Amino acid sequence: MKNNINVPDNSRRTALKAGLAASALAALSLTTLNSANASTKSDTKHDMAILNAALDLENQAIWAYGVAAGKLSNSKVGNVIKSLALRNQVDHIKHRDIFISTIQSLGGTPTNTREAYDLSAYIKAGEGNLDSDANIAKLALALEVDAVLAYASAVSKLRSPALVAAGLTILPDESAHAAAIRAVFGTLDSTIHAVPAAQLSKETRSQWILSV
Amino acid sequence: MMRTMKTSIMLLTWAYLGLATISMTVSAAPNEISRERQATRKPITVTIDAFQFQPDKIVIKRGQSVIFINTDEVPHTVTPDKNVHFIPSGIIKGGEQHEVSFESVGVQDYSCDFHPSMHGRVIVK
Repeated sequence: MKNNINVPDNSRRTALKAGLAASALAALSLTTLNSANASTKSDTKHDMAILNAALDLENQAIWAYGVAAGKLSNSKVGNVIKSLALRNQVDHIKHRDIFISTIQSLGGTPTNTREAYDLSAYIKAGEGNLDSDANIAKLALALEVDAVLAYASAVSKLRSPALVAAGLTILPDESAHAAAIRAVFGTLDSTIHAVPAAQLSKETRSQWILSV
Repeated sequence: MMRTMKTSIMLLTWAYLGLATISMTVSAAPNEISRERQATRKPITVTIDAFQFQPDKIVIKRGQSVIFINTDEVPHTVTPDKNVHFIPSGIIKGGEQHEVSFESVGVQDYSCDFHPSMHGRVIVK
């Protein structure tokens, strides 16, 4: 189930330093489980499907950042984006592990990761590409923005209040990823703001995306 | 003479009305069958809600179609699994719907491209 992704030493150190935080999140997952047990079987089945869809998003993000990191150049900009991409990827790996443990604790089977994911819709829409450092970062931004929208939709449909609470700890992290990518663009172009709108919704999506 | 003619006209009229009634009855029969067929082959609705196909398993007749209504805010797809024969939906945006026609008999499994954990099955008889 775990992805075989090469994470550089500095990212591994970051991951180790974040070990305590990860333990805290794992504890959150268990708290969630205890409360979730109070729900009906039907509610648990319903929520488990949503957790698996969230796991799909994490698997896709981990894969996408892995592909992106392999395509980024060794230029200054390329290295800045690569460093951010790998930090974001580490977060997604943690999210993935939380979802896997929560689904298993609820008696479910976590969905398998795919060998590859289809991002052609984003490329066709001009919301990123894999042909330059800037376009790779734009593609990552579009994925993060859509992850936020998907999470918001998913969390709002969970039936167990404890799972809603747990989901709400991950949602801001996803939007922070989007803001962090935009902040990198902001260092190159002062007209690009890290947080371009007061909301991140279907209606404001276009303000967050950076077109190719 | 006049009486004979009147009787003949009345008989002809009755005969005509009778034939017309029979003709109407005969022509109505196929329409009813056709309506019945249409009713049984009426599209079935599957709702995509909370990242789930609901119901996730349905049984339909060959040639019947299924309308997938996406009530989630995010886009989904109805994509056939390997060796399954129906035309993929492409992207169904939040709030939109798409009709898929099932022409091949058998078990037709499908999933969402963006959320591979979302599965559904259509059994075509």
